[in-house]
Amino acid sequence: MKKAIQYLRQIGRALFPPGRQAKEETGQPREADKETGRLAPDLLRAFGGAENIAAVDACLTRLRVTVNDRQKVDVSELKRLGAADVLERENEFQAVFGTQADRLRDQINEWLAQREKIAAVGVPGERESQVTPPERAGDGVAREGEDTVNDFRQVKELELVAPLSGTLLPLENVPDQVFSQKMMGDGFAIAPDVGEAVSPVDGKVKMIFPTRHAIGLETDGGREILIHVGIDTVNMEGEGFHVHVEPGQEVQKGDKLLTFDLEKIRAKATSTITPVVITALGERERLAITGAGQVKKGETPVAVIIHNLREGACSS
Amino acid sequence: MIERKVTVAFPSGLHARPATQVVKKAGSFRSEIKISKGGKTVDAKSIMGVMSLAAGRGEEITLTADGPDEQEAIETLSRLISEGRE
Repeated sequence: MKKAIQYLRQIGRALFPPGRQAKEETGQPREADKETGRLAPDLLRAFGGAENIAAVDACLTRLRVTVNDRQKVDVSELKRLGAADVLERENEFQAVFGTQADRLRDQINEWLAQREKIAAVGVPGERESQVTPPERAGDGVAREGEDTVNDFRQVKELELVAPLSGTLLPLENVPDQVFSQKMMGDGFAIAPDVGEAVSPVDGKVKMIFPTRHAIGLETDGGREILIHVGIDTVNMEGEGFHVHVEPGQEVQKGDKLLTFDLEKIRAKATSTITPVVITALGERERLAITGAGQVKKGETPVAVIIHNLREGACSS
Repeated sequence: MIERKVTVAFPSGLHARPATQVVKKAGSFRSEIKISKGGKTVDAKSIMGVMSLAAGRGEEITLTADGPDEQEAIETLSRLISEGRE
């Protein structure tokens, strides 16, 4: 019986949370919370509570939730809980959670199912074991159509690791409008600690600008990525820059591309901030920034290219 | 299809900013537009393509346009590239 009460309390906390109290407990989103399902109750709350949720699904990196009343959804709270971005279309919200999206969908659905179960049969009591705890939901459980979705994901998604070590910044922070206004395309920027750039993807070198401050890569899937070291560095005419690859050369994630003298850039150019731009995103593609703060070259995942599936392709 | 030779006047050649200007302008036309230099031909609507020409100041490039608005496209782009205002 004690177990049953504990269980009820657990569900009660999720469905009828005590104000903002949980916020203090969770603090900043942690990877561990995504793993264990502790995020599910917080997410439910951010989507306006269980009553407000009409449907939950996931598509690639996005958690897709259809709500009854969009006004009840707290987008900034979703972002605080770790969503890299939140897209809205009428009553559907798509929260970008990276590879955890599928798991979060399962966890939320699990919470909702438990709630319905209680409504239908009353206290679950010792039948608790029949309900899959959120902690285990989605792990190793084969779902219909899962293989198809996974195949699709491998083809259509591309993860970029940090090409430089330093601080990850939004592209808007680059002190040059051609980048900050995304005239060249979407991307991110890094304020480097070390004068070395490595490849953020597997692909080949498409272009090296003669002044060696900019390098273009083409991924195996045909995406084009420009790494532009510093701002107004074109005026340095190559001084302090060294190239370690040749045009057409195949490169792998983490391979050294360029080295450069950070002190010289500081002295002679506008900034060392290095924009990294996807110059040719397809119409149905967009970039989601998945990293934050300090990043390590060749290791820290920083962004994902997302391909919008045609309507309904993920509904299974 | 029409073709025209143009000398690049941008002070630093067709690097990031000028290349973006050219690509944006090219993208406003329906015609297929190409730029060639030294035997290499690229799509004028691709930033990476245009930058990969590494066309410096004073170098000659060849513009070609093919489509319903080819005349206007050539006029506009050759003016942009030969005037070289960033």
